[in-house]
Amino acid sequence: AAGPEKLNTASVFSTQNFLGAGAVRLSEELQKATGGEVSLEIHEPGDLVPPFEVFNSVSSGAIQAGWDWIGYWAGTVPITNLYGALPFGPSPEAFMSWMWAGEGTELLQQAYDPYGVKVLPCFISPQETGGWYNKEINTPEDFEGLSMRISGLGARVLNKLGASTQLIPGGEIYLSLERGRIDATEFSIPQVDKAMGFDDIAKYYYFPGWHQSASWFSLIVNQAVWDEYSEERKAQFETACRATLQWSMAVAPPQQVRTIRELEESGVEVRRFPDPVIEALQNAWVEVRKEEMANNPAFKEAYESLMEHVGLIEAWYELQELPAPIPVDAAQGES
Amino acid sequence: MAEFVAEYALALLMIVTLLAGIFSGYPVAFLLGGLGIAFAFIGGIPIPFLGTVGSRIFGGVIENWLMIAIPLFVFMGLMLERSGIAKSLLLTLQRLFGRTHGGLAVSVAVLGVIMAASTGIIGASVVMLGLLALPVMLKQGYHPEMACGVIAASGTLGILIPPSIMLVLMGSILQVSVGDLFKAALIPGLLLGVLYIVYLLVTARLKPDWAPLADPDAIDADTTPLPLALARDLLGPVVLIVAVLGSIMAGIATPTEAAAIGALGSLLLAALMRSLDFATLRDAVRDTSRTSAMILFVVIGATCFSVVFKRLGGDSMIEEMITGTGLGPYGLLLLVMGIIFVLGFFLEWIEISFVVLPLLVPVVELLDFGYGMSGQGLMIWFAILVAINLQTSFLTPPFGYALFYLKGITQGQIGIGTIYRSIIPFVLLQLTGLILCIVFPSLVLWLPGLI
Amino acid sequence: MPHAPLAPWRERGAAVSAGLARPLVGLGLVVGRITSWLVLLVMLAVLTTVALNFLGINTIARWEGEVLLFGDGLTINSVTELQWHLFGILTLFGGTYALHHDSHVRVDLVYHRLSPRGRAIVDILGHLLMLIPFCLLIAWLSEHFVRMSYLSGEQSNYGGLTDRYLIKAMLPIGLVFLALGAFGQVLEKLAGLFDPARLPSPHTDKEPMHG
Ligand code: NA
Ligand code: NA
Repeated sequence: AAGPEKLNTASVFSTQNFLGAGAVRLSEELQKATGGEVSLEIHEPGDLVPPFEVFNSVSSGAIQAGWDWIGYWAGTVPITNLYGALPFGPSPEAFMSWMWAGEGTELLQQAYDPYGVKVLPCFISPQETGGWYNKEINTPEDFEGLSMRISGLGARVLNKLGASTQLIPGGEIYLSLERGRIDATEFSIPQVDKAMGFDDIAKYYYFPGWHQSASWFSLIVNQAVWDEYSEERKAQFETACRATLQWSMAVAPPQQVRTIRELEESGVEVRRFPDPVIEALQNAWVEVRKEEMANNPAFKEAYESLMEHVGLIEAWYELQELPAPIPVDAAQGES
Repeated sequence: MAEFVAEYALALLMIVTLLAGIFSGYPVAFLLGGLGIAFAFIGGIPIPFLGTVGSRIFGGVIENWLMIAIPLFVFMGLMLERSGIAKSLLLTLQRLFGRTHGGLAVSVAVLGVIMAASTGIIGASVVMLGLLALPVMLKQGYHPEMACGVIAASGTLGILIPPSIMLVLMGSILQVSVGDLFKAALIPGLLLGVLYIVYLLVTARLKPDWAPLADPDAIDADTTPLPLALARDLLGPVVLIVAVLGSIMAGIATPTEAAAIGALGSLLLAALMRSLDFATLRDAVRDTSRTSAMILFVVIGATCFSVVFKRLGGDSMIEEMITGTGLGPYGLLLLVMGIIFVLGFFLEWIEISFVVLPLLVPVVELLDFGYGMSGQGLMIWFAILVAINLQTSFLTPPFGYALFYLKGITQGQIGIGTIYRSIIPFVLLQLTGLILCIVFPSLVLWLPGLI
Repeated sequence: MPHAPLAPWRERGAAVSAGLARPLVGLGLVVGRITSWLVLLVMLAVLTTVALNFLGINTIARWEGEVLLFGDGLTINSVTELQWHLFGILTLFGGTYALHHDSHVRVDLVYHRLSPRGRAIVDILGHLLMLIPFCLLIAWLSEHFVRMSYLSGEQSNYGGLTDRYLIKAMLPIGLVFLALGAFGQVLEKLAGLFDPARLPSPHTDKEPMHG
C-alpha cells in the first residue's frame, strides 16, 4: 500500500490558536514536500476523540494520527514529562539540538515503540510564563496554601513548598480564577493566554516559567499506517516536520514580547519572581528530580543524556560569550 | 439537489432511520448507539475506527468532571420534591395573591420560578406543581386550559433558570464556562416568568370566568401573620438558592461543587421538615441512579451515532445546507433557531444537544453580529438562545415531556387535546422571550459581564 | 381475561425463557440497587474537595509502599479523581438498572398504542439488533484501551489516583453487563410471547423524571 493521502489527524488544540496552527502549517509543508500528494486532514479537539484519548486511539489504530503536546501522555509514558514540561530545563535551541543531533528523538521513539506509535517532534513552543496570579509572591513562604491549577512535575515542585495544586477543567479555569476558587493558574505562552482572556481577571503575570522551559509538540502516527508509506514519503514527512519546527522557533519569541507589551498596556502587571523564590523552587525541583530518577529509570536515562548534551552547548556559548549589543543610537546619526 | 442527495445518501438515510426508529418507541439511547454501529458497517467504515466510541464515552462522560453535577442535581430535585416544602409555600403564596382574579395561577407561576432556582431538573418541578396545584385550581373553578398551561410552562422553567443540568451539558458541548451560562440564563429565565404572569393577569381580567376568585375563608385557614408565614416558607428554598447559586457567584465552588452543596442542602432540608427516613432516602438514590443513567446513556448513544454520522459526511452536509442559503448573520441565526424549534417537536433536548448542536457550532462561530461580542460572549449568547428554544421543546406537541407528565398526573381527567391547546399561548410567550433575547443580547450578557 | 389453554411447547418455552431471564434480570436489579448509593459517596467526595480547598490542604496522608488505586498517598486531587471514578460506576451500572425499570426515554406516541405483544416485539428486535451489538462491539474494541492502561501503569498526572486501568476496565465490564441485562429482557419478553399471560398489562404508568 502507498499510505493514506489524507492522514486523519486529531489535534488536541483548536487550529484557531498558535499551538493548533502548528498542525495546519505541517500539513502545508507536507503538501509542498510531496507535490500536493499527501496532506493532513486535521480534526478539531473532541471531533474524533477527547484530547486525552488521542495517544491511546492512535496506538489502537482507531485514528491514524494525532497532533499533540507531548506532555499530555505523561500518565501513560512518564518520560514525556521531560519533553512536555521539564522544570528548570534547557532553552529551546539547546533542547532542539538534543532532539535532532543528540539522543532526544531516539529515546522518545523507544518509549513509544511498545505502543506502536511513530513520533515526529515538529514544533516547539518557547518557554511558558510563570502563570497568572492574584496573590503576590514575594517570598517562598507565599506558596504555602496557595491554590494553583498546574499539572505534572511543576505541580510536584509546588507541593514541596506547600501549595495546593488543583485539577480544574479547561472551561472552568477562567471563572475559578476570577472568583478566587483558585489563586493562580499557568496556561501557555502569552499569545495563547491572551486569547483566553486571563488579563481581565488576574493582577500579576509572573515570569520566568520555571516549570516548563521549552515544550515539544508532535505528530504521532499509528505505526502500521506509518509503515505503509514508502521510504521516500517518510523522508518527505521528516522534511516537512523540520520546516515546521524551524517556523515555530522563528515566529514565536518576537510575537510573545509584542503580546506582553499589549497586556501591559491593558493594565496587567508583569513581574519577575524574586531570586530567593526562584532559588527555593529550584531546590524543591532537585528533590522532585531525585525522586523521579529513583522511581523511573527511563526518565533518568533521558534526563542524563539531555543534561550531558546541554553541557556541551553551554560550554561552547560560554567560550563565545560577548557583551550585550549596544542599541543603535539615532541621536548619533547611525540610522 | 439530486447531486446533494447522492453525495450524502448515507448521512441522510441515517437521519431518516433514526426518526423512523424513534417512532417505534424503542429507547432512543440504544437506538442511537445501535444505528451508529449499523451504519458503520453499511458505510464500510473500518471497524477499528469504532474504537473511538469507547474513548469518547470514557473522556466525554465518565472522566468528564462537569457531568458529575447531573446525578447531584437530580438527587437535589428529588429530595426537594419529597420534603413537602413546596406545598406550604403554595398555600402562603395563595394568601398573598389570592384576592385578585388569576391570583392562584400567579402563585403557581411564582412557585415555579422559586422551584426552578432551587432545582436543576424539570421532571420534579412539573410533577410537583401538577400534583399540588392542579386539584386546587380545578376545584376553584379554573378553566383546565389555563391551569394546565401555567403548570406545564412554569414547571419547565427549572431547566432554564440556573441551576440546570441542561446548561451543564451545553457547557460541556460548547466548551464554555458553566458558571457563565448559569449567570447568563438567570435574566432570560426570570423574564419568561414575568411574561407568564403578565399574560395570566391579562387573561384573568378579560375572561374572569376562566380564573374565579377563591373562597376567602379557605385562603385564610392558616392564622400565622402573612409576612411571618412567607418568611417561614421561603427560608428553605432561599437558603438552598443562596447555597447553590451563591457559592458559584462567590467563587467558593465550581458548578459541580455547588451541585454537591445543593444535594446536601436538600438532604438537610428534608431532615428539618421531618420527611427524611430510610425508605425516602433509598427511593431517592435509586430514582437518581436511574434518571441520571437515562440521561447519560442518551449521551453515550449519541456519541456513537454522531462520530459515524460525521464520518459519513453528515457534518459537511449540515454546513452546506446552512451556509448554502446565502443568508446574513441574523438570517442564519433564525434558520438555526427554526431548525432547533422544529426538531423540538420530535426530539428531546438531550438528543438535540448532543447530535445536532455540535454540527451547528462551527457555523455560529463564524457569525458576526456586531455588539463587540467576544468569541466567548457570542457562544454564551447562542447557548442561551438554544436553551430557551430547548425549554420550549418540553412544551411543544406531539412530544413534549412536560405535557406527558401532566397527562400522567391527570389520570384521564383532562384530554390530551385540552393540554395541547393549553400550551399554545405559553409557547408563543416562549417565542416572545426568545425574540427579546435575540434583539437585546444584553439581557443575556449583562449579568456575566460579557458586554 | 380467560386464556385458552396453551400448547405444551409454548408452555415449556415460556417456562425455560422465564427461568433463564430471572437470574439475569435479578442480577441487574441487585447490582443497580447497590451502586445507586454511590450518589451519596460522590456527593461526599465533592464536598471533601470543597472543604480541603477552603482550608488550603493539599496532602491528606502519605504512607510507605503502594496501595491499589491510591498509590502512596491521599491528596485533594485523589479525592477529585475519586469523584468521577465513583460517578462512572454509578452511571454504567445505572444504565442496566434503568433498563430493567424501563426508565430509558422512549418516544411512546406509537408505542403507547401497541398491544403488549407488539411492545414485546419492538423491544426484542431492538435489543437484538441495536443494544446488544452496540455493547458487545464497543466492549470488545475497548480491550486495547484497558490493556494499554494496565501495561503502562497509567496514573494521574496531577498527583491523584493510580491504577487508571481499574476505572477504564469498568467501561467494557459495564457494557457487557448491560448486554447481559438486555439478553435477560429478551428472554423475559420471549416468555411473554410464548405465554401472553406473562406480558405486563397495557397500562404502565412509568413516567421518567426527565431532565
Ligand atoms: Na433550575
Ligand atoms: Na416537543
